[in-house]
Amino acid sequence: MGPVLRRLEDESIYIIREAIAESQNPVLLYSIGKDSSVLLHLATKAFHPVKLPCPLLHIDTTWKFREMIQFRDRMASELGASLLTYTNADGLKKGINPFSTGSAHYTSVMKTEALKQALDLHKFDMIIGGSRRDEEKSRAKERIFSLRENGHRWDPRSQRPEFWKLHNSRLLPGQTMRVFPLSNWTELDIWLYIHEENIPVVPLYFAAERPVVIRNGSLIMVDDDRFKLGENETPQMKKVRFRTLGCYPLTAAIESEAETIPQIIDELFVSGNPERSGRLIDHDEPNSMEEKKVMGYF
Amino acid sequence: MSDTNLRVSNYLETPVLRIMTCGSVDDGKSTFLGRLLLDSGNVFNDQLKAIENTGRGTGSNRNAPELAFLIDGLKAEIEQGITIDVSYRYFFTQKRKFIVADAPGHAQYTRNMAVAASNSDAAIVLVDATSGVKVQTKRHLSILSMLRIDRLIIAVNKMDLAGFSRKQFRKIKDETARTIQSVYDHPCSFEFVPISAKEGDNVVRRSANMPWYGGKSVLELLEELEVDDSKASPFCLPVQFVARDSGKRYYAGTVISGSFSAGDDIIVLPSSKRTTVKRLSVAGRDVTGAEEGDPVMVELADDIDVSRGDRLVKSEKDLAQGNTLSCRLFWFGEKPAAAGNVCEMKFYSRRIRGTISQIREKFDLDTVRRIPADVLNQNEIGFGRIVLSAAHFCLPFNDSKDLGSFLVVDLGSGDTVGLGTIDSVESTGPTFPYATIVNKSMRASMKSQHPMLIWMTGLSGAGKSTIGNLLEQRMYESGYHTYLLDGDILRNGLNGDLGFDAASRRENIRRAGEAAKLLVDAGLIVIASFISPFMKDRSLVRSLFAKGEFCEVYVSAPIEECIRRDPKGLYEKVRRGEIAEFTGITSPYEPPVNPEITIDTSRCTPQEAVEQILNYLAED
Repeated sequence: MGPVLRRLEDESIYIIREAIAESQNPVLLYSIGKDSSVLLHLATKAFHPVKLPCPLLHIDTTWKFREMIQFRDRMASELGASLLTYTNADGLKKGINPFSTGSAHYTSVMKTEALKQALDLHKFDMIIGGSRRDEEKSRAKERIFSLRENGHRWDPRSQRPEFWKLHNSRLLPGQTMRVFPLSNWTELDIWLYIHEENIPVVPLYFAAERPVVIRNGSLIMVDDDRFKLGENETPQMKKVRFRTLGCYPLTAAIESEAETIPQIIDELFVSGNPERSGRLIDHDEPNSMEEKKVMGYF
Repeated sequence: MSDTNLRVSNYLETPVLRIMTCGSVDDGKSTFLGRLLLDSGNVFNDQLKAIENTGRGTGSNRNAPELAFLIDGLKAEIEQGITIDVSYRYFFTQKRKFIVADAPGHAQYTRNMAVAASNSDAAIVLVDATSGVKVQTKRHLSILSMLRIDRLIIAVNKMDLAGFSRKQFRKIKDETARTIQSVYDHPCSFEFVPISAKEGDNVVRRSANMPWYGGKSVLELLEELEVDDSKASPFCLPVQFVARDSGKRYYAGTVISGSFSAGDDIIVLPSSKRTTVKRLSVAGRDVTGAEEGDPVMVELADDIDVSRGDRLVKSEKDLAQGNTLSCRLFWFGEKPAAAGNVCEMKFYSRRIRGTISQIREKFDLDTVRRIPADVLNQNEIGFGRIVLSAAHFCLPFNDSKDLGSFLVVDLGSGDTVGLGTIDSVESTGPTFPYATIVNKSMRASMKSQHPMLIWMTGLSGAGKSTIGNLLEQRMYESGYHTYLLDGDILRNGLNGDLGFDAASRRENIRRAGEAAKLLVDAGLIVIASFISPFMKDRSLVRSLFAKGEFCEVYVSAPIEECIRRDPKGLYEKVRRGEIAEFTGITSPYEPPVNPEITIDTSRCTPQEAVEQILNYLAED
């Protein structure tokens, strides 16, 4: 492994160990995507030969790609990790869904609220997640150990300064800490590392013929029969792949020929588009990620 | 992947360079960074589209995009029109990968600039070619110096507004170089590049507008910068986490210096228990040895008690032990730092409660000098002492960034209110010394005097002993209880075992300081006369005393005058080669920066000198 990936790996393992050591009740947020796969791989390495000393938590909106859920269950059983899943039952009962509810409200209820409910239910104090600073401008400003006030709110104006490897993880009652071991990884680093370490990822990242419709200029995959087709919409087969994975109706695919990791890396070197541009929820309004984070979103 | 093979291997094999941009508000940090990203081909299509038609320029430049908008900020920042927090950007060129931290220039958020600095290998300091160094530039430089960011690129920006003038560049360059030399108390490397971030001159591409500048562009300098900081240091592994599995215990941590192997004998600090490394793995792979930077998991041969925060070393001497830290503090709490503040110190994987026992000096930004102080306000850098509630094993910051630094955490709010770097560590007995029934103030009031140490420093032959003797005589006649502590007398007794090498001279001064402390505690006014040539040693002595208990008198005389006087015939011996190391001739004398009193004995009589000291003491 070259110095770039080596240094990232060392840094991430240090952060994961530090979070677990300082926590009374830690959890690792697992969203099934490539970043989560790398995070889980690093966390496993950090404690080898001992088993990962915290559970995984997946917030299930019930609208994830089917392949994601299959992959999640396979990974959990292979690793022997304890996997917790949580769905906002109240939101489900009210029929909140990504098609008719509006993406902002849907995300708020089924993702942000669901996450807060799950964290409160289990009383987790340190929540380790796979966010990266190169994903989005408000994430670019966030600390590695990022304090959440009562109600999981993020206050971007008063982040605790952190220097070198010194992190202040002291918590008052009601406060929690989000910890981001992958802060300094880029999308390219993630793929290079997955390649180097042979880390399994959901096949949706690789180009294949998939049924898609074009909505507002985005390629949306028809993943199950809950997809309500518009009058003039007919799914067509296109060779596409996903750069990020979320809820299938809100995650745009890109047309691509990249069927292998080296081909993805090749594609990234010439790519001129940011990775999260395929996430429709990020573009609800200007600064929308920042607003979501303030409210407690990851 | 064949097309990109070379790029991938360059990317993976060249160590990443972490850089930061800093400088005062409006010196052009965001525009510079925007230009750097744009011209190096690191701006996404949609970002470029978003800043079209944002130009605020005039003439032919009117439609050029506003590059600063590429470095978009938080909503709270856009509302206030300032940068609050550090933003990290990631980009790469054909040569290597970069992480750039864009730091705020606003004084209120200086702490965040320091955060960026701690995560950087090098700093790009923007200075406005039309206005030069500002107070905030000095503040940033002083933080860079404290955090030992010793590779600087000074980008003299807005050269377009200065007519691309070589003369103006030289003027700003000279001014800035002087500031750097006065701020930095240790060597650093710096290069100057005349740039125009707005027009793109010398940022990525070399400028056609400044043919007189024969050097490289900022990006070229960055691409070539070496980042290897590692030095041969002894092995140290702080224990981060203790993992238990089926009756076995494993210790996780990152090797912060040196290397070790299975089979090595190691010592666990602070317990000093000895054992052997049985087995180890690095990042999940079983290995026979590990080195600096490796995240390891260790199994030990014996079942001994090891907890988080303990340090595994090969020799106890590899770390300094003590409960009292002489340190520099960068303070960002709203409430000032002052003696008596109880806080939690967060060291590398270890928390210890402690008390600020003294604030001694602070850094004055206008004059770029240390001045006496007893509190530190928000955004000030100062010097003081912290007494810990437990002994700690650490190293001076100069020797180890990881083991020589700590956060100061407010116990009430849990907030981080300061950053400390350790200058030296020592043991001062129990943290909260045993309270004797009769104490210093009782002894002092019996003598109706204010006990203190008057420390006279200066070259041999400058007149220290003459003035000291005369001063004691005058004070004795006025009814004061005094004691004269003389270097020569001490060397015949207490310090009889010491030689004249650097370490012995240092120990000589340390013992003199400790002896003086006991005498002051006894209620006496102590007059000490020691050459004490090194600032570091004198500040160690100063740090033993409370404010108002220590008075430094710099007894100065030109070296020629001292050689002429030569009261003990020592200079003559040096001339004949009988003494190898002698202060002022073959070894340096560092004059005090801010002594309480300075006396030039080539311009006054010993009697006048004594009057000067007595007048000072009467006023104080």
